[in-house]
Amino acid sequence: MQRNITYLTLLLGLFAGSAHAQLSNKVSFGGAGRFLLDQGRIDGELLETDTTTARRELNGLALFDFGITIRPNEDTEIKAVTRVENAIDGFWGAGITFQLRELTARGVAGEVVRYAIGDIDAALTPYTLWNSSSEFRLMRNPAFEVFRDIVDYENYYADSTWRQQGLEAEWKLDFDRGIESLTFHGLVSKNRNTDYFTLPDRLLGFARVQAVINPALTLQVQGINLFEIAESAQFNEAERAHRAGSILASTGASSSSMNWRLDVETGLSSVRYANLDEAPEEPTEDFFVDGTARLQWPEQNLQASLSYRDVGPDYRAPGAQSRRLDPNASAAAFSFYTNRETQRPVSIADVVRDRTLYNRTIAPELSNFNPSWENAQPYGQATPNRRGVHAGLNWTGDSARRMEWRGEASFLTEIRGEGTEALRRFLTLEAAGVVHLARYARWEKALDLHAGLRNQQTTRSGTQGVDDVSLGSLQAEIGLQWEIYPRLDVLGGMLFLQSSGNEYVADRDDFNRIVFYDAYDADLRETWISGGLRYRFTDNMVLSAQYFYLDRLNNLDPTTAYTLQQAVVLYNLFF
Amino acid sequence: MNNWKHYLLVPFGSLLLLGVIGLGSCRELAPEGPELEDIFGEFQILRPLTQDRTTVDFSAGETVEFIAELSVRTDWTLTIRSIETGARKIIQGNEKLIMGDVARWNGSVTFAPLFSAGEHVVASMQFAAFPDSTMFSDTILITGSRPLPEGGILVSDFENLDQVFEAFSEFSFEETNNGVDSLFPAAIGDKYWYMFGRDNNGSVFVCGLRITATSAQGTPVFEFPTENEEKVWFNMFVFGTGTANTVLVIDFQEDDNLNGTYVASQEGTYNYQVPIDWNGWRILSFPYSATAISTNGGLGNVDANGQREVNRIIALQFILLSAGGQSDNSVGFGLDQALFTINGPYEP
Repeated sequence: MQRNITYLTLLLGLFAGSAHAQLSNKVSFGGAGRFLLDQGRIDGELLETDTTTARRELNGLALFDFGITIRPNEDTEIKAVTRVENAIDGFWGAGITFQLRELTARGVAGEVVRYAIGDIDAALTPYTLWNSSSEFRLMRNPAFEVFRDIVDYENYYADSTWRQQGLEAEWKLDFDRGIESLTFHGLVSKNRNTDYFTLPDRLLGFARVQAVINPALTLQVQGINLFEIAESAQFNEAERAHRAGSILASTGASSSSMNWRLDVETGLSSVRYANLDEAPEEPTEDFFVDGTARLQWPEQNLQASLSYRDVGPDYRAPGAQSRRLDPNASAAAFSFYTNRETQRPVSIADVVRDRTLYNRTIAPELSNFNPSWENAQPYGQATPNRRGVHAGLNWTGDSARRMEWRGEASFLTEIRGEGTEALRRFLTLEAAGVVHLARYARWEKALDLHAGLRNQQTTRSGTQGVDDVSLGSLQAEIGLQWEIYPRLDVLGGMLFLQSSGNEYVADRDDFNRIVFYDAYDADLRETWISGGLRYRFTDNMVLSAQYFYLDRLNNLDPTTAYTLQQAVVLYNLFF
Repeated sequence: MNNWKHYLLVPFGSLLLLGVIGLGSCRELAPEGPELEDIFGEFQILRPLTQDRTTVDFSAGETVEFIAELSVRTDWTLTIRSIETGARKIIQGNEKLIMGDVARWNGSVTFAPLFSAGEHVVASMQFAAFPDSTMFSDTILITGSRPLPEGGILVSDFENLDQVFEAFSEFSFEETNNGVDSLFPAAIGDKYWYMFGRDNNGSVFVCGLRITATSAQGTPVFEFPTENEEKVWFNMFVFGTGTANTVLVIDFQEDDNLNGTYVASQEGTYNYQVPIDWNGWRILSFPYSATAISTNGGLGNVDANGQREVNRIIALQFILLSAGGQSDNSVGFGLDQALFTINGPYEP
């Protein structure tokens, strides 16, 4: 067994080694590779009267992303990533697809302006252009993390950026008196392509000016515009423009015993429609403000923060309010049930593993969300119609780094009622951490126990009798990583969701106005557990075999209860 | 730390924060969206379903206004059904005051056959959340049926037996029907074209019907008020017989050189293909831009001038295919009310 593992390590290690190779300083390689085999089985009450849904599925794929970076001179870099993908049942190459995943040219023009053309990852601030994290990201869980990383990679989620296709330029001026530097940053990208008839082109553009007064004081002004060009579609005269802008001021100071930092951001948004039937005649305008104080005690490895936020009900910034996750999308595995007539509701297992549920584009509409997953800030920090405080505490452990913990609490209220004068209140508490048990026992191998808990309560004390709201949601996550042999880990994990209560979900029209409500009742419990083995050839190259078991029960409709068992073999490589 | 400038930001930022918080407290606080009480309050029928007339002549432009009032907004469905033929018109909404244009009927139909003069209809209103609260209107007599849309060009309604229909079939096709028929109720009028039979040799093609512009419009090619292929729509009622593997192909033959004849090996045919997997009448509508050039060698796959041109359509063909490509495969459909409309699909 030991010899076999050694051979396998050597073989794949050589492969990884070659992947890092460079022909010269002018050319380098990078990319990713994946082989996935997924055997699933679905059982439960919902299949009792279902005679057509397949009970078992075997899916898989093999893909390879090959990236090449060429530097023809010291000021220019060209990067291209191509993908070859083959479904596991695409025998003899019948299911193979080729695509260009990324193509970017970047460099420095005249030793002054930094530019990039092609695929660009862009972000500004959480209220103007920001790709907020999706639900069920309470902590890094060794049992699930590789799947979350794959979802991020497949959908181009890098930190909080949105992948755009366009032109970006940055220009910096340094001063020897008054202020230290001024940086100008701009981008223009294509957000949507015209159909040449009725749907016009939509572009995204932003400009940012950052002034560093001194190392402790920074001012930043930015504006972003998502707009349509009516003339790009032959039979279209309508136009929409979503504009948002903000000013961000940051200051702080540091000493050996304590650091502090204060960030204040405030801004406005405006939405205008032209030649659109039933659109608001007057521009929709509103503003936001966010003040955050951060304290850090380096010797104690402790950080604390306190924020106040006020985001107006009509504040619209599509770049910051577009959601990653679509809860109404069709899951890739066992998409339908009840004789293939009913779409299977997305479960927590799908959210973690299914890359097709996620959105890659910025859209002006406030899209659907699931109140049981996230009700307080479904559109990130820029969620409109919210006011309140947020506090955070982060401890990275003692000098031996034997444990790390963080906790957050937020209390938000609506600013304007929806369908009633009564306002919702949102209380969110969460804590997560990891205990490195091996460090207590002074073992050389890793034994880590991860745990996280999140509780969210939404309440509204109504005045009409029908407008009471009470919805609770509890998320829990546990993860275990035990290195039983060098680089060979036993993995265990659990993800749990329980939600009960009632809510009203707003139906919005094309102009984001509420036109109706759907009553939402929940009495839901989902438990997803996992166990398996993983071998880490390197930190970025793993081979794992895991078993997953999902139990989903909706007490409001017990006939839809089901279990989902999946055995997954995954070889994953990032390089 | 010894630079005093950044300390200015603390009072400045605090003042800015307080100012904006103060501004926030001055916002308009009127609730957004419809009132919840209006949707989820107690359900009552405040005014039963009535209509503003008991006879209607749609050919004269008359309409029927249905009136009712509810205590809350809830999803409702108004179904207008012909007592004689079962033709149905569905209107859906969630308003609590139903009057004016909310539930106005102009004689159009949702499920064929069409409403005809002399028929009696009755309307019922159902509520998704309150299934025991259905209410009915009085009986209404139709004295005149809805006319063709303005600018519409009728290819055939299969009522005029003097019109020239060119029927053809595969030599080994066991043909039981390929002609004007009246076995079951037509979508409109009394007659329709019916194709039904068995593919005996797995040849895919079963039988077809060709109608020229000359026989339909009396012109060498169909003449439209626009040459924009996005704005010219073809529409037709299709009766599905529930037979598996039935496919309908509609060919539009273009006289590319405008010499009055169509040569399949030199001039283009653009077609639209659809599996007929339903039972009963349904309307099929698509713009001419949705067609694609024929892929059959020598049968319109070469376009003399390389362009799809809506103003050069010399004839239409309706082809019955057996998609299974296997023998002993019974397939069939009915066709009625084939017509072109301008600017949008036909709303019967």
